[in-house]
Amino acid sequence: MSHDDTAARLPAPGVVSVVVVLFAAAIGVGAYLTSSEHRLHDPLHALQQFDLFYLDEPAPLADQLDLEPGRPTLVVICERCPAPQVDAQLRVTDDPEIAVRYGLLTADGRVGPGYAVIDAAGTLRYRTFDPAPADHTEEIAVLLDNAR
Amino acid sequence: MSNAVTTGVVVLVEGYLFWRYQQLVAEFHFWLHALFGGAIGVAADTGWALVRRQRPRAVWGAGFAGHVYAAFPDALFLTAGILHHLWMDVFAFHIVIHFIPAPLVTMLGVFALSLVAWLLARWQRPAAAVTALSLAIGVTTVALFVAPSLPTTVEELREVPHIALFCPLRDIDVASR
Repeated sequence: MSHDDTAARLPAPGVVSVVVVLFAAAIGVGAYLTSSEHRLHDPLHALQQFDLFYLDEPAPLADQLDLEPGRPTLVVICERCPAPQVDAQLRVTDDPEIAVRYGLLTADGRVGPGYAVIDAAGTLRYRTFDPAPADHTEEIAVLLDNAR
Repeated sequence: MSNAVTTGVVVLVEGYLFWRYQQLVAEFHFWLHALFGGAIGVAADTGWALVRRQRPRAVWGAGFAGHVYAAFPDALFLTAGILHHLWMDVFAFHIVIHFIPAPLVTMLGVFALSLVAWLLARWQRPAAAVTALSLAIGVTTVALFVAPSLPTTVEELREVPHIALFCPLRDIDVASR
């Protein structure tokens, strides 16, 4: 086999890199979009664990949640999920009335799983669906630190 | 040899970043910023090569640099506890990019277009490369233009079709009595 024959069989320069990168990206995105976690994520996907305080309104049902002013509060809303260990007031509920007021009830009746962050002044700053809040204590701690 | 080293380092670091995001069940954010950041890096390298009438360099370094730039606010959050803010759009539209239609599929398309442009520039077909780059920029611009604004109240959130506006479970309870 001549050198020219071998060269003719090689793909054009760069093709292998592009194919590998695109293939990896397409497989990764496809795997994520069909994963079980994805089905539990926020219906408005942009807000899934967004880590930005985009809400600014008095916390709904503050009396029912027995919120004490001066400390941030984590409201975990889910059925049968462990709560994260955090340095803040913690409320855990599966009450669909509370879930709907915090935008954590889906139209097909799923309660969370998710959580909301209320700052020390009693203002609702953040809420997100989250498949496993107890596994994300590090992330939630950052949110609560910024809510003091 | 240096290309092989760059490729190896990029693959290792990207693997680590994916693992870190996966720990937070945040693969959505990994792919979103990796695809758009990668597209920016590859497109910038391709555009610069076209201006200089040269072939662009290997795709790995530029794509990785773009990813790092786009994901910088996430690094600030994880390492310094700094929340996201609207001004962080200076990092490759880090905030608003979440709100474009079908974000991952759209960005996969933009990334693919930037890679095609790079490939065409590599093959020294500048007109076709410019066309692919223009398409990538056009798709991104339209997607950003039609992205809805950030909701600021729960009431706005509940306008999303899949989030309940009223409590359907209570209605079921009442009906069954």
